[in-house]
Amino acid sequence: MSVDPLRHISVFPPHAFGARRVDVIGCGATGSRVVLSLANLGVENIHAWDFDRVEEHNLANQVFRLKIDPSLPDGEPLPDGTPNTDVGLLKVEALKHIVLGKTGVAIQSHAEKVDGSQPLGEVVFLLTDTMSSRKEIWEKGLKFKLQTRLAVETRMGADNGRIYALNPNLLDHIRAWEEAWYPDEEAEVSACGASISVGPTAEIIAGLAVWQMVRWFAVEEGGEDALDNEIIFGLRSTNAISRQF
Amino acid sequence: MARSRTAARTARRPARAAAPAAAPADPGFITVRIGKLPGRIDTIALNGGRKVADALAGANLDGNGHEIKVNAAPATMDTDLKQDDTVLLVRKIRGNA
Repeated sequence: MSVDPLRHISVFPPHAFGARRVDVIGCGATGSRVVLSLANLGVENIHAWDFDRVEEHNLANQVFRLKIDPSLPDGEPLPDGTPNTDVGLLKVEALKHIVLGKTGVAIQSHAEKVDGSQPLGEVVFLLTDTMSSRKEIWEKGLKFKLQTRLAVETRMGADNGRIYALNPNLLDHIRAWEEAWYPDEEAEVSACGASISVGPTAEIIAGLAVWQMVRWFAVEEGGEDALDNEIIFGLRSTNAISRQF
Repeated sequence: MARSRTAARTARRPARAAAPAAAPADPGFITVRIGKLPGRIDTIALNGGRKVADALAGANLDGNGHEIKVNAAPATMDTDLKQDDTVLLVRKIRGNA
């Protein structure tokens, strides 16, 4: 049993996308939504990577559940004796259950830190939380690696975001992305030093990120479109700019 | 043969000679849109210098810690501006968690 793509098939035909492999590296606020959105579109060969466990503070801005079975009283475990919550589970394992239940798609979960040495697919969503990890994965696993034809990388602020969509084998794209990279020390953080994470902002970023893959595939299929390689938006006031590399 | 009403009116209208194109007068200033992203974007006039640094000074904006974009492309304080350019200061962000 799977989700019926009838309402979006003219925009994204999952049968044509077929078994192309899509890797999502980082399953936090953006990544957990991207995985669910891809599965809703009918993408079947999804590999989700994250080594973190779900913590209580993740529930406000990620897709994970306070209760897996909301009909059970607070504190009562599931019939198999496990806790009735995603809190404490590996993010990729919780996500696997959520996506399977919502869409029927069985994602491949990888509870490990990606450093670029792992095999990656034709489409890669690079959604980690530090600039240094992005750079490491870019250098070892994406740059000039022919198997990946679309890399989508996002960055989230409280009320603003960035989406990069590029071919890591094109010199112009490589040069432009590397110029758009900056060290973690230069990036804004919250007062407590952690990265800022607001659910509605993550919704927008995840949606735009998946849209870039939809557009990329439309071009692959002969459609007339051209990716926005860099999208930057702000929500107070609402403004966006984009450019092509 | 029947003609449409529009065609008939056009046919009766006397032809006018095209006015010679006048060279646009240089007002001595340019206007550019400038602001932070996120933030409000305003339009300001630049009377003197026409570089990004002049525009930021005119708008009382501090570019420290931001990337500069002119018409969405990377720019510097020394980038020259022209009429209707959009100068944005963009925050550097990194999150996803």
